[in-house]
Amino acid sequence: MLHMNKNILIKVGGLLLACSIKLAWSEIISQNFNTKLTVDSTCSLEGMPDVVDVVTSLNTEVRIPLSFSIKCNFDDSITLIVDSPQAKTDGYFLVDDKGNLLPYSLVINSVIQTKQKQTVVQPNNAYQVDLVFPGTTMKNVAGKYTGVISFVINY
Amino acid sequence: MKKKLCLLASAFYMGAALAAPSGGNSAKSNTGLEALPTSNDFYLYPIQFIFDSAGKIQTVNIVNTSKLNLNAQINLKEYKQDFRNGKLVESMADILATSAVRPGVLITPVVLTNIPGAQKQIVRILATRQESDIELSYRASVKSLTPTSLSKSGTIMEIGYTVPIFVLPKNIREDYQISYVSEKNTAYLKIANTGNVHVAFSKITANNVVLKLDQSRLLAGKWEMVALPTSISKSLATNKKLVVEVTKFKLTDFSNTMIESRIITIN
Repeated sequence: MLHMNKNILIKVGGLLLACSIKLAWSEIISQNFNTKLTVDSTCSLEGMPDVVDVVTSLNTEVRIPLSFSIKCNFDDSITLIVDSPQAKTDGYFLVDDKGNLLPYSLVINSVIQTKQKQTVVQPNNAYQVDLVFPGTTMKNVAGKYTGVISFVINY
Repeated sequence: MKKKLCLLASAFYMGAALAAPSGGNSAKSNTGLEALPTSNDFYLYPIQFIFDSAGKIQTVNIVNTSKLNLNAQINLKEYKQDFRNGKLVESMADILATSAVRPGVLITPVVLTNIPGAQKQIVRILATRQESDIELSYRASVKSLTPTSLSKSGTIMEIGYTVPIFVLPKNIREDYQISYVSEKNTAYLKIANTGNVHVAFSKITANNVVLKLDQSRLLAGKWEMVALPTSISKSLATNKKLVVEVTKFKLTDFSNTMIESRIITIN
């Protein structure tokens, strides 16, 4: 009889323990996912290539598709900025081998609004953007351009 | 017992959270995208800094997730918001060495060289000045420096981060106002920060519809107009009530949010 009671007690105890574990987990999960940000909150941008070739010719639009993902350990939105290569203050610009500056307006489709250069994105999604270099009637723009294009996560 | 389990679960969660942003070197990301050869990958944490007095120091951890050495540069910029074409947009003004007013924070080091792969570098931020009634707002812009060996092969794609830095005033006034505005047959919610410190919103809903904000963080004295969806503006013709629920981060503890509800009666 005592042995049976012990078994029942152990089973009840085990059930209570399982319940308390489940309760503790659900509390932790709800607390952390509701608060979203912690001191260890961070994001990284994945899949961006190191180098792309920007080759353009007169009156021809050049479209460079880029796929990447933004991984974060929280789910609050963040802003993604594409630094204009023409922002000379940062020293970023695209030039050809003759030193000509590429006259272009950066156009990004998909989730990033046209000509906005910055947009609010939801983390943990995959994105595709096109860097578009519109054709131009200006002389001496054809060629291969070097420089830096910077994708910035703005917290 | 429950407390111990909570701590254990918390530690497990923190470990998972830290491991989450793994950089771009995996063969295939969980998004289903085939990973391309990546640019200098790094990330940093924490992602915002709030000082409640001058003389205090906080640290930024910059983690190199690539196999290559990382070189990076940090620039301190003024964090501003301006109203352009009907939208509140952010701008970052360079802080020049010739500036008449010295910045309220100091960052060191600002040039990071040869952080080995899979290693981290600590950067310190010191609050040097505090105003009595105005919050000082800055952004630290962290960008990788391109290896010169790559620069001749094409156009370099770089990754950067900017993190906000605030020095709170001695006399803190936290306040914001939400009002209904109708202009040119369009219904708006005007959200105004009437305090002297920033307000960071996590989510704002009107009649249970999530609103899209131009800026989720409003600097002191700034305001924005959020157009209400047509479904809400139509319903206001009969139901003259707008229930606005605001989820905002606490000022000095951004790991916690608070929810406030406001009911606006439309005249």
